[in-house]
Amino acid sequence: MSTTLTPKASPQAREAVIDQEAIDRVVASRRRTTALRIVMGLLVPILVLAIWEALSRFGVFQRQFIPPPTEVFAGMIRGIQDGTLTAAIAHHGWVSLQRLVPGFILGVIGGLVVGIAMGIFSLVRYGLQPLISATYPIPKIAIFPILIVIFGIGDESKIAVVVIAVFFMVAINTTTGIIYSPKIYREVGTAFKLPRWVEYTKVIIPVALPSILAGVRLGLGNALIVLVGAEFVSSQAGLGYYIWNAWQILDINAMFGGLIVIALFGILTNWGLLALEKKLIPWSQA
Amino acid sequence: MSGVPGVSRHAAAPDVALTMENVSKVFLPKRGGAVLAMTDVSLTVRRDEVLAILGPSGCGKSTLLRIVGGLDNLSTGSMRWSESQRESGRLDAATVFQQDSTLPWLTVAQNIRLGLSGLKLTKSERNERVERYASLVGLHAFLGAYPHELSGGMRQRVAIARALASEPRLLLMDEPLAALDAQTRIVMQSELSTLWGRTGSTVVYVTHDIEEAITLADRIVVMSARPGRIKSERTVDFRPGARGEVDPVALRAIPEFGQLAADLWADLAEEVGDALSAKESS
Repeated sequence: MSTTLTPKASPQAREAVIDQEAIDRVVASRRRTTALRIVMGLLVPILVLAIWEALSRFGVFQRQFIPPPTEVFAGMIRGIQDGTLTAAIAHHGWVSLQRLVPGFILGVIGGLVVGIAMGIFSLVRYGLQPLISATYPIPKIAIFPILIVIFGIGDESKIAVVVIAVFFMVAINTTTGIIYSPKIYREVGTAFKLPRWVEYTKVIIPVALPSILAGVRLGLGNALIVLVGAEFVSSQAGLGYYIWNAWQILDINAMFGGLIVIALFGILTNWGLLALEKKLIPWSQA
Repeated sequence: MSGVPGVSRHAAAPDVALTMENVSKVFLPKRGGAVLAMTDVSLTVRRDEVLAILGPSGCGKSTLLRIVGGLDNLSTGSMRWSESQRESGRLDAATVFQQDSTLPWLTVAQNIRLGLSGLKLTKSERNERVERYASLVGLHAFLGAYPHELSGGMRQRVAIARALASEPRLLLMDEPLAALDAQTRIVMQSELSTLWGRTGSTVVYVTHDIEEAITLADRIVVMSARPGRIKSERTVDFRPGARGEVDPVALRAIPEFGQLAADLWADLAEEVGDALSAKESS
C-alpha cells in the first residue's frame, strides 16, 4: 500500500467562503479588547495624577514639598526651555550610566557562570546553595559600607554594589531554570549519548533561557534601585545624588525630573529586554 | 522464555541483538516503601525483528525500555548486547518517546542532527543522513521549520527521524503514537511499517494498544501487572506480503487478526483486572 505522508489536505477540501459578517464580528471584538486595554492603561495613571493634584491643592500634602503635578510639569518645562534641567540630567545621567553598565555586565556574566555551574554540577550546587540562600536576603545596599571599605568611595564601590545586585538575580534564576526544566529534554540528551559540550550548549542552557532572561530583567531593576541608593549616600554626581540634592535644596521640579528619567530608563530597557526575549526564544510565544 | 516457538519471519538467521536475563527493577520513592516495578524478566531481542511489549499501564513496560535505552539502571540481573554488529556510526539504542521530545529551539534539521553528535561521522555523512531520514518521514520540505510550526504528528515524525538517523542497532519506541489522534495514529502505523521495511531496523515497541501491536510487530510479549513479569509470547505469522507493505485497515479484516487480538485480550484482561483490584486495595 502506498502511504500518504501528509494527510492534511483532504481531496474534497475546497476554499470555504467565510461569512463576512462573522469576520467583522471577530475583528470588532478584538478591537474592543485593544481599546479597553489602552483606555484603562491611561485612565488609571490620569486618575492617580488627579488625586495627587487635588490632595496638594486642598492642603492635604504640604504644597512646598509636594506641589500639584501641574506645577511640577510647568516647572520642568521651564527647566527644559532654559536648558538647565536637561543639562543637569544629561551630566548626572551619564555619570550613573558609567556605573550601571559595567556593573550590570559584570553581574550578568558572574551570575551566568555561577548559575550554570550550579545547575549542571550538583557538587557546585551542594557547595554554593546554602551560601547563596543565606546571603541573598541581605539588602544589597546594607553591605555598601563594607564595599566602600574594600573599594573606596569612588566609582568602584558603586559598580560593585550593582554587580552584586545583578549577580544574585541572574544566578538564582539560571540555576532554577536548569534544575526545574522539563525532564524530557535531558532524557533526549541521555538517550542519544550526546557529548557533554553538546548537551550543555544545545540542551541544558537553551532550556533555561526563558528563566535566565527573566533573571536579567529583574537584575536590571535591582541594579537601578541599589545604584540610586548608593548615590544618595555617597556621591557627588549621578542621578541618585541629583535627586537627593534637589530634595535638600527644595528644588522639587529637579527632583521629579530625576525620578521621571529613572522611570523612563526602566521602562525603555525593560522593553528592550522583552524584545530581545522574543527574538531569542520564539518558541515560548507559540 | 527466550527463543521459544515460532521463529518470526524476519529472523531467518537467529541472530541475537540483545539478551536480558532475570532483570528486576526496584524504585525507592521519597515517601512510602520500595516498589518492585518488574521482576525476573528474561527477554531476547532478535536481529531485524519488531518486538512489541504489551501490558496494562503501570506494568513496567516503559521501565524495561528505559533500561535498554540507558535511561534507567537495572537493579538485579544482566543485560548483554551482542558484539557481532557493533559498528561505528551507529548508536546501540535510540529512543522515540511518547511525549513530544523535539527541542523547540532547534529546527527540524538541527533536531535530527543533534542525535548524531555522539557519533563519529564526517560532516558530509551527517548532512546526508539528516536529508535522507527527513525525506523518509516526509519532512524534507520542513528542514528549516521549528517544531512549534508543525503539527503534533509531524513533530513525532521528527523524533522518529532523529532516532532512525542514528541508525541504532535497537530502535526503542515508547508508545510513540499514544499522544496522537486516532486517524493520525492509523496513518502513522502504516508509515512506521513502511519505514522499518526500508531501513531493516530492529525494533522494540512498547504499547498498550493490542491492534497496534498486531499491526506492527513480528512477535508480541505480554507483561503482567506490577510487578511486571513476562506472561506470554505470541508470534504474528499471518501478515500477507513483505514487511513494509502493511495496510493497517485491510489487516484488521483478516480472521487471524481477530483471533490473535482475542487471545491477547484474554492474556491482558486478567492483568488489567489485577491492576484494578490492586489499586482498590492499596
